[in-house]
Amino acid sequence: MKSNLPKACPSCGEELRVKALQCPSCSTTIEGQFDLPLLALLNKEDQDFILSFVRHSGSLKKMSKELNLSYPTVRNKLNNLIDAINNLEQEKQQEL
Amino acid sequence: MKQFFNPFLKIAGWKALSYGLAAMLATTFLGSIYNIHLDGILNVHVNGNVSLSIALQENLINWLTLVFVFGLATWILNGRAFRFLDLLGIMAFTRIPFLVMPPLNAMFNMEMIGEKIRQSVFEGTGELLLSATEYLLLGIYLVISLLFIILSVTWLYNGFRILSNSKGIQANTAFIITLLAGVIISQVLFTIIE
Repeated sequence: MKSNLPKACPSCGEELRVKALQCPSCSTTIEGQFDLPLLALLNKEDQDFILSFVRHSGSLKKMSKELNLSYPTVRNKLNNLIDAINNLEQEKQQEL
Repeated sequence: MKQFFNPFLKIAGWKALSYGLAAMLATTFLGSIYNIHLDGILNVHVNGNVSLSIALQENLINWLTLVFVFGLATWILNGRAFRFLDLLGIMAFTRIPFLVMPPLNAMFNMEMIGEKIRQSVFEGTGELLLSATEYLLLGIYLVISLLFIILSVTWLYNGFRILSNSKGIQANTAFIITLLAGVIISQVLFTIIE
C-alpha cells in the first residue's frame, strides 16, 4: 500500500518536519530538523496537477482535453494553485 | 445533473461558441416565424410582426450586451488574463434556452392570447376576456417560459463564476450587479433603436 506523506501534526495541526533521513542500502541515518519542500506541502490534487502540467509542456489546452474539463476550468485550477503557492511562501517568510 | 446546470465545467471556447451561435441563429429564424421579440437580455414579448432582420438584431444586441457587461465584470474581478473566446462562447451558450420560446409561443397560441390582453389594456375594454382554457394555457406558458429563463440565468451565473474564478458573496454580489446592469443597458439600447 502506498502511503501519503503527512504534512500536519494529527494532534495539534502544526506543520511537520523531517527529523531523520536514512539510506535504504546501508542504513546510514542522518538526523536533524529539515523543512518539507514547498511542493510537498501542497495537497495531492495540486501535486498531480503540477506533474500533469509539466508532462503537457505547460499546455493547458492539452491538459483540458486529457482531464475532460473546459479550458477556463483548468486555467482556474492553475490560478488557485498559484495562489496556494504564494500563500505558502508568505507563511514561510513570516515564520522566518 | 451538476453538468446540466454548469455545462462550462466541460464546455467553453469554440465548442460553446458554435453551439450558442447555432442556437441564436435558430432562435432568430423561429422568432421571425412565430413573431417573438427578445427585446432585452431576459425579455420575451409577443407583439406585431417580427422580421428576420429585427430578430437577428435583437439576438445580437442581447448577446453583445452580455459579452460587454460580464466581460467588464470578469476583467475587474479576475485580475488575471482570460480568453476572450471563452467569454464569447459562454455568453452565446447561455442564450440556448431562449430557443424554446418561439415554438412554445406557437404551441400555447400566445399570439392570440397576447392580442386579447393588448386589446383589454390598450383599447380600454378593461375586462380580460379569456376563456378558462386560455387562462390555463397562459399559466402553463408562463411557468414553462420562466423555467427556461431561470436556466439561462443559472448558466450565466455559473459561466460568470468560471470566467472570473470568483466564489461566495463576492461572486453573488458581482453577478447580481452585472445582471442588473445588463438588463438596464439592453433596455436602453432597445429604446434607442425603437
